[in-house]
Amino acid sequence: MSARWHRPLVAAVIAVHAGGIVALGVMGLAQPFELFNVILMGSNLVIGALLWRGKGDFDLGIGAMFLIVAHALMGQRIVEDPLTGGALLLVNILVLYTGLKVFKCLPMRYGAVFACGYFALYVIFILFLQNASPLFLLFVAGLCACARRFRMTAYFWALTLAFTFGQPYAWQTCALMFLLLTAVFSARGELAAPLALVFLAAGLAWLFLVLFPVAIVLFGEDAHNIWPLLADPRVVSALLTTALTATVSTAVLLVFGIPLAYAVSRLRFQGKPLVLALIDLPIIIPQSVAGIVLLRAFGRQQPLGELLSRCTGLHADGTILGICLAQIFVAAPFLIKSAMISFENVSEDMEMSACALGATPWGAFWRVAVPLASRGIFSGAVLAWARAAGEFGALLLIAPTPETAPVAVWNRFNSVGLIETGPLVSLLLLFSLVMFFLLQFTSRLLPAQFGQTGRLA
Amino acid sequence: MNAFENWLSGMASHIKLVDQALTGMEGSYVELLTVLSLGLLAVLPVVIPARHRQLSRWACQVAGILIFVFIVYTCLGVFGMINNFFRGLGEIGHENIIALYFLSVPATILITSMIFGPTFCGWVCPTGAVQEFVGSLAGKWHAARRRAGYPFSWKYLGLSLGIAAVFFAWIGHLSATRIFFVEDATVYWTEILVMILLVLAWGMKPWDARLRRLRVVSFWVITLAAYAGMRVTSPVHFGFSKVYDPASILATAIVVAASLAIPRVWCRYLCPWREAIAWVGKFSTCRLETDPAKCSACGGCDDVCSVEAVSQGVIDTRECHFCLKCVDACPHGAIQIKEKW
Repeated sequence: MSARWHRPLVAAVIAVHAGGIVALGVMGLAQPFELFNVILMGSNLVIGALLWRGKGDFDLGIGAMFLIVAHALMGQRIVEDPLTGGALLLVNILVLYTGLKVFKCLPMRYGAVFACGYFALYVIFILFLQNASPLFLLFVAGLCACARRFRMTAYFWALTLAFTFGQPYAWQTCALMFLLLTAVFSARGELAAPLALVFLAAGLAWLFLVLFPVAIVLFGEDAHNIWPLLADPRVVSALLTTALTATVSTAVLLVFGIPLAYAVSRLRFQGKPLVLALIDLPIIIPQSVAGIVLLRAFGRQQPLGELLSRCTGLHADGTILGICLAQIFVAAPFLIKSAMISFENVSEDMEMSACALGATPWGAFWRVAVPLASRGIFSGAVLAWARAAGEFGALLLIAPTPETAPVAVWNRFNSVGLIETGPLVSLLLLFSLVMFFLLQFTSRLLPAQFGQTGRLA
Repeated sequence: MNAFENWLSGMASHIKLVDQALTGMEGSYVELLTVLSLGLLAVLPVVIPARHRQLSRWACQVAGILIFVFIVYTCLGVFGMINNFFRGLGEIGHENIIALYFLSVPATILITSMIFGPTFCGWVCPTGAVQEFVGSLAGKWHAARRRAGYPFSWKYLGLSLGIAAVFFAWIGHLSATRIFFVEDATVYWTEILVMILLVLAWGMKPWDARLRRLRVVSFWVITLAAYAGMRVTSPVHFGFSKVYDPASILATAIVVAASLAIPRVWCRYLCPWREAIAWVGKFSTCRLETDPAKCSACGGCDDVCSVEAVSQGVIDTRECHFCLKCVDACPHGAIQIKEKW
C-alpha cells in the first residue's frame, strides 16, 4: 500500500473505534468508560499516533489497530469478561505479528502450515476439549513461537498431540514421537533421499509399536515401588541367577561356537547347507517344544539325563545345569551366525600371509582371524547373552526352580496379577536395558575390521 | 530471630491481589492476567526505544516483582515452576483449568523466550531483579575486580566467609527447631552456593566457566524430582506462597547477600530456569549480533555485563540475559538486536 494512504487509514480506524464505542454506549450495549474500553482506546490512540508520524511497521500497526477495534466493538460477543478478552487480543496480535513475518520472510508453505495449525488448535481446544479455551491461547502462542521452522512446528505438534490425545501416557508418547522426529529430521544421505526418508519414517512408526508398551511399563511405575524390590531376597536371587547362568551359557557358547563358526566359514564340505540350516533350528522350534525336547533327553530316567547322573551325579531338571542347558540351546544360533558372518568378512589372505610369515595355523586363527572378527563375535555374544537371560519357555519345563528373572515374573503374575507385577517388570526392563546398552557400548572398544567403521557385522 | 521470621512470613501471606487462585474475576481466571502481564513485559525489550532503555528495564523489573508477588499464584520460585510445568502438562485433557493454572507462567516464559529472546531473565525475573538491585551497590568494585582479572582479594574472602557464617549460624538455629527434608531442596542449593563462593575466592578465572555447568545438573535434578512427584522449595519461594517456609527465607537471604560478592550469582551457577531459557533461546527469532566491521574490541561491553556473557564484542548466547546493557554501552553501535525469520 502506498504511503499516502497511511494517514487517512489510521484516522478512519480511530474514527470507527470512537464512533462505534459511542454508538454502543448510546444503545446501552457497552460502557465506553469501563477500564478495559479506556485501555483499548488509549492503546489504539498511541499506536495511531506512532503510525501517523511514520514510526514502526505500518502493516503490523494497522493490523493491531483493526484487531483492537474489533475487540472493542465485538469482543463482548466472543468473550464476556475483559480479562479473557485482553488475553485473546494479545494472542491475536502475536498471531498477526507472526503471520505477517511468516508471509513476508518465508515461502508460502510456512504460512499455509501456520494457518492450518491455528485451525487445528481451534478444533482441538475449543471444539474437542472441555473448558480449554484459555489453554487454546497458550497453545496458539506456542504455535507462533514455532512457526518459523517446520522442524520446530513438528515438535510442537508432537507435544500437543501427545498431551491432548495421548493422556495418560502423554510423556511416553511425547518422548517416542520426539525420538522419531529427531531421527527423521537429522537424517542425511546421498541416495534417493525422499524415498529413504519415507522408509525411515514408516519403519520408525513400527518401532513406536515396539517401544510404546515398553515405555508404558518402564516409566509408568512410581519410583517408590521399585526400590523396595531390591531389598526382596527372592527378586535379588532371581536377578543374580539370571546374570550368572546367562554369563556361563555365553562363555560355553563362545568356547564351542567360535571354532565351529570359523570352521564352517573356512571349509567346504558335503551337507554344508544342511548344517547351516540346522544351526538355525533352535530359532525355528517353539520354546515350549524346545523345553520338552530337552526334558525328553536330559530329564530323569531319560537317555542322556540317566547317563549324566550315572557318570557325574548331576541332574539337569530343576538345577542351574538345566537352566544353562536350555539357555545354550536357544541362544546358540545368535552367536554362531554372527561369528560366522564376521569370519567370512575377514579375508583369508590375511591368515595366509600370517602363515607365510611363520605363524602356526592356531596362531593365524587366534592372533589374526579372531581379533579381526572380534566385533561381530562380541555383538553376537551380546545377543546370545540377552537371549539366554530372557529365555522363559524352555526353562519353565526343564528348570522352573531355581527361579530366573523371567520365571519370577511369571510366578508373580500368576499369584498377584497384572498391576502388582508392574514394579518388578519395570525393574527387570531397567536391568536388561542397562546391561544391553553397557555391552553394546563395550563393543566399541574392540578393534574394527578393515573397511568397516564401527558398524555391527 | 523468630520474631523476624514470623514478621517475614506474616508479610508474605495475604498479599495477593485476588483472594484465591482459580476463582473467577468476573468470569475469568487470574492466570490469564499473569499470561497477559508477563507477555507484555517480555515484549517490551524489543519494542522500547533505545533512549533511557536501562531505566525502562529497571522499571520493568520492579513491575516484574510486583506482578509476581501480588498477582501470580502458581510460581513457587525457580524450582516450583519446573514442577508446575510438569504437573500442568499432565493435567491437559483431564482438568484443563488446573492445567492452565500450572502452565500459565512457565509456558508464557518459554514461548516469549522463543520469540523475543531470553528477555525474562534480564527484564522480568524477580529473583534476578533482587540480585541485580543489591549487586549494583557493589557495581564499581565488581567492574574493578573483573578488569584486574580477579586477583585474590581479602575483601571478597571476608565477604564470602561472612556469608558462610550467616548461613551456618542460621541453619544451626533452624535445625534446632525443625527437621529438613528432601523437599527443602533450597537448603542444599544454598549450601552449594556458599561452597561456590569459597571456591571462587581462589580461582574465579579457571573455575567460573566450569561451575556454570552446574546449572545443567541443577536443571536435571529438579526435573527428575518433579518426575518423581516431589514438591521442592526454592529461594524466594516463600514470597509467593502462603506456606511458612524458613528454608526458603534463608536461601533468599543468602542469595541476595552473595550477589554482593558476585553479581547475579544465582543466575550464573545454579538457576535451572536459566538453562531452560537459554536452551529455548537458541531458537529465538530475536538475537544480539555484533557487527565485526564496527566492533573495535574496546571491551566496553565486558564492563557492563553482569553475567560476563560478552567478551570483546563476542556474545555467548548461553549466558546472555538479553538485558541489552552491552547494546546501550557500545560506543560504535556494533551490537544490535537482529530479527531472523
